[in-house]
Amino acid sequence: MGSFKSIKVKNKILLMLLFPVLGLIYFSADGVVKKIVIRTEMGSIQSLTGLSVSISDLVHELQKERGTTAGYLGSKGAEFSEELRNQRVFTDSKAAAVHVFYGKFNGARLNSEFNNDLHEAVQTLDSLEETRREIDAFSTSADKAISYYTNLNATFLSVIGNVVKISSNAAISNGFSTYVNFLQGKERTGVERAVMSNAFAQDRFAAGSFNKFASLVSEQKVYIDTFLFFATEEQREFYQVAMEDPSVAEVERMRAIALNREQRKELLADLTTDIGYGGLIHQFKNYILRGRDNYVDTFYTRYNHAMATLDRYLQLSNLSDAAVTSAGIVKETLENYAENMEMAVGLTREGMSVEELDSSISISDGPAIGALNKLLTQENFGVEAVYWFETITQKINLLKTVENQLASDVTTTAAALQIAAQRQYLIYMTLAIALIILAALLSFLTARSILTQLGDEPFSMAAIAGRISEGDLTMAFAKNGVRNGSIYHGFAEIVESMNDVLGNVNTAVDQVSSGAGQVAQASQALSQGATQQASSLEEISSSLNEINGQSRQNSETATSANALAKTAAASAENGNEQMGLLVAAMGRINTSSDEIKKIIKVIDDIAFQINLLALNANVEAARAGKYGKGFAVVAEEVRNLAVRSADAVKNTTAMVEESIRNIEEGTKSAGITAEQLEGIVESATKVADYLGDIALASNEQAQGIEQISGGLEQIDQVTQSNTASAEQGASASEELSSQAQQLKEMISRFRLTENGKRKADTIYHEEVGVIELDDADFGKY
Amino acid sequence: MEETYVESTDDGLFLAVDDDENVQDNKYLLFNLGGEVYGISIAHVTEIIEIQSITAVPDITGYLKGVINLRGRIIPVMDLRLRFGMDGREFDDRTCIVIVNINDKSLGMIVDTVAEVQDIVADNIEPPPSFKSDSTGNDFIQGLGKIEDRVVILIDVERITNGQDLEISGEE
Repeated sequence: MGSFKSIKVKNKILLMLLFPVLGLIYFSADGVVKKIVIRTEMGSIQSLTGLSVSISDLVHELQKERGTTAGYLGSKGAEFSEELRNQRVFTDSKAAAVHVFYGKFNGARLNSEFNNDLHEAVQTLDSLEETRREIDAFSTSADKAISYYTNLNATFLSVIGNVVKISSNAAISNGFSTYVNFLQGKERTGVERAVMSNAFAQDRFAAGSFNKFASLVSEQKVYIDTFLFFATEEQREFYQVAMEDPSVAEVERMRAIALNREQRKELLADLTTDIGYGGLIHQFKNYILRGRDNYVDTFYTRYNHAMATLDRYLQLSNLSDAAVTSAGIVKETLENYAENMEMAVGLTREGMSVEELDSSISISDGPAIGALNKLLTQENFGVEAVYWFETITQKINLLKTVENQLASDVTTTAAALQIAAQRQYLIYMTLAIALIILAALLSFLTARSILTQLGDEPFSMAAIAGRISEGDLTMAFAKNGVRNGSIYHGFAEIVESMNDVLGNVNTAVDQVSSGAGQVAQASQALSQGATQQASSLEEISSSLNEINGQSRQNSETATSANALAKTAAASAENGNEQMGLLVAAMGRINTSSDEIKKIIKVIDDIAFQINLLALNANVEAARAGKYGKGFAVVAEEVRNLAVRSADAVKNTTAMVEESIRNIEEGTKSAGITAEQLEGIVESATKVADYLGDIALASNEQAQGIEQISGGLEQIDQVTQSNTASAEQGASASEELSSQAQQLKEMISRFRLTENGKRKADTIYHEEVGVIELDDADFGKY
Repeated sequence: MEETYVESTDDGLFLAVDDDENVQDNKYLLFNLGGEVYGISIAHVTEIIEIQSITAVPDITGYLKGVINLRGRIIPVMDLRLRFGMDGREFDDRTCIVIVNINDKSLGMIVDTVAEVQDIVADNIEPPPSFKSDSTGNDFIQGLGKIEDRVVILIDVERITNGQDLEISGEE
């Protein structure tokens, strides 16, 4: 465990993280592989379904060929020859399709049983041509030919059946079970078609054929029941709808005819017993020959039984016309016998001898025996082989549609499952990767957070704390890469500030020590100074008395100056009022000048009018010729006067305007003078105020000086107490000096850096900076 | 239309025409227009009146300002400044209208102001400067009269209408 202690925190965290992440990777990989397996299986199931469909198509054609062949052989080539030729072409095309599939099909992943079956089936298919040649030459029996086809189909169907075993998925297995059972049932229907085609064509069952037919019917029922058990609701419904076709009922009817055979045989055997040796004919003959009554009783017993048997026979369903006719002949003959018997009994009672009786009664049992033989040797199905074949082929075609539906259901299921598996695989993969990344990221963040807060390995922290507690503050701390707020950073700050504080204390103690000496000296000087101060105080006191006298004189002078200044202010005020009157007078002159200007304008207008009149007069005078000449002179004179008065107006106007200008300037000057006088009034008032203030201040000064005198006496007293204090100070400074020495000794316990210079001998935090979990580290996970 | 009759005497004395019927011939009414002094023969002048309100008449030439009613007579009025191609100016209380008679039709001419009636003998009248002669329609300057050291532009009133119809009055 000692070695575990020395592992760095970073590596411990990595170690702590390693196993869960490895586990997570293992389980994720396992899950992903499983999903891949499922996806792959679904892919191969899909291709197997394709193969199965192709095979079942071939089987369907082989079934038809088998039925046709059976009919062909059964009718000795009389029927079905053309149908057989056509059917073989169909079969060959489907066989080619299976061959193509077989060629492409990669069965390496599948088990050997499946591959063996498939291989065997394809090989058996290769001998189809040979069998066909034998059939064409009639060199083989119908049984052999049918069993060849049946065997071939069984092999192919077992290939499909093996798919069920291959799939590990319940839905697929179920789907294939449904499909395979249905195929097996349909195959039996096909065999039934062949067997019964042969039987109907010969109108009898070949040896063992009836048993085979019966077992085929029951096998079909078993397979179809199994199919219905596995089938979904929709598939069941689909099947039942398909089976509502009339051809199905027709097949059932013909099947019932075939199945009634045993019953017929039984009834005919009973009839033979009643009629044949020891039977009713025999009894009849005995009575005629011997005449004993016991023969009569036996005869009637046999007769009644035979008639009942005949009635039961005729009541059977699906009897052929030939059979009904033959049975009628038998019945008629037997009734004939009964009549003769009655007659014979009557004649005997009358006493007729045996010889006479024998000669009088003549009856033949020939027709009954012939008819009975006919019934016994022929089946009398009354069903045309070709009709049977067509009807059951119709049913098989319906079954084929159901089969196609089932195949497509399986394919759909497999495709859906493959898509689901693919989706699950992607989700699983994504989740696994996300979880691994999240785990790594969280661990990385946690590790970084812890190490950021520590700043360095915990044992380094412990060592630093130990040295601080011993008083060693000479450690050097790394600066680069240290996070603020980490413990390491905190230690660095503590040590630095302690270094600073204790260094400062050291310096301060030195200063206190030297200061104490200085205080002692100063105390001496203070004592001397106090003595000198006392003598100076005396001189100050006498100077103050002088100042006091001067202040009082000052106060009086200021009071009289104040009175003079007030008088000056009053004079200026008066001048200001006079100036106001002057400005008002000038304003009035200005108004008058405007009036004058208006009058002058009127005069000017009149002069212009006169001028105009004079000119008009001149015009009139000119028009009057020499008679107006005198008048023209007068007009000219008038005009001259008008011109002169206009000139005078011009001059007057100029003069008036000049005087208005002068008045304006005078007004302006008067305004300025008024302002200046106002200023003088203000200034004089202020001077008076200031002088008043001076007088007041001088008074206060005198009072203040008296207070100073009082203060000086207090200073004198204080000086004396100062001298005593100085002596006490000297003794206190000695005490201070010795205490400073003690403090210095205490501080020397700490080892400090010298004046903040770091000794570089001890450096903790060897790895500068906190753990940097970069991409390279991340790669380790 | 040239109807001016100049009495030419060798000595050029006023006395020579003193006895003549046509005492008007040498008299000119002087008036101010812009900075210049113009003169028209007094024979054409009917009357001088102060400016009065002018009734504007639609659709007449730009320098014809409209008509005035002078004691019952309707007289068309022309702004001489505009007629002479000068800038117009606001009328003031010295603006006068000189009523002239041209071919028995009256016309008012608006001038800045009238100055005086002056005798100018034919000897003191120079012909108009030749450079004006080519500009047709503006040859209404009769001559340049000399009075001491001043020059007066003498206007031929008959040409000033430039043959235009003054039928605007419609009364005479």
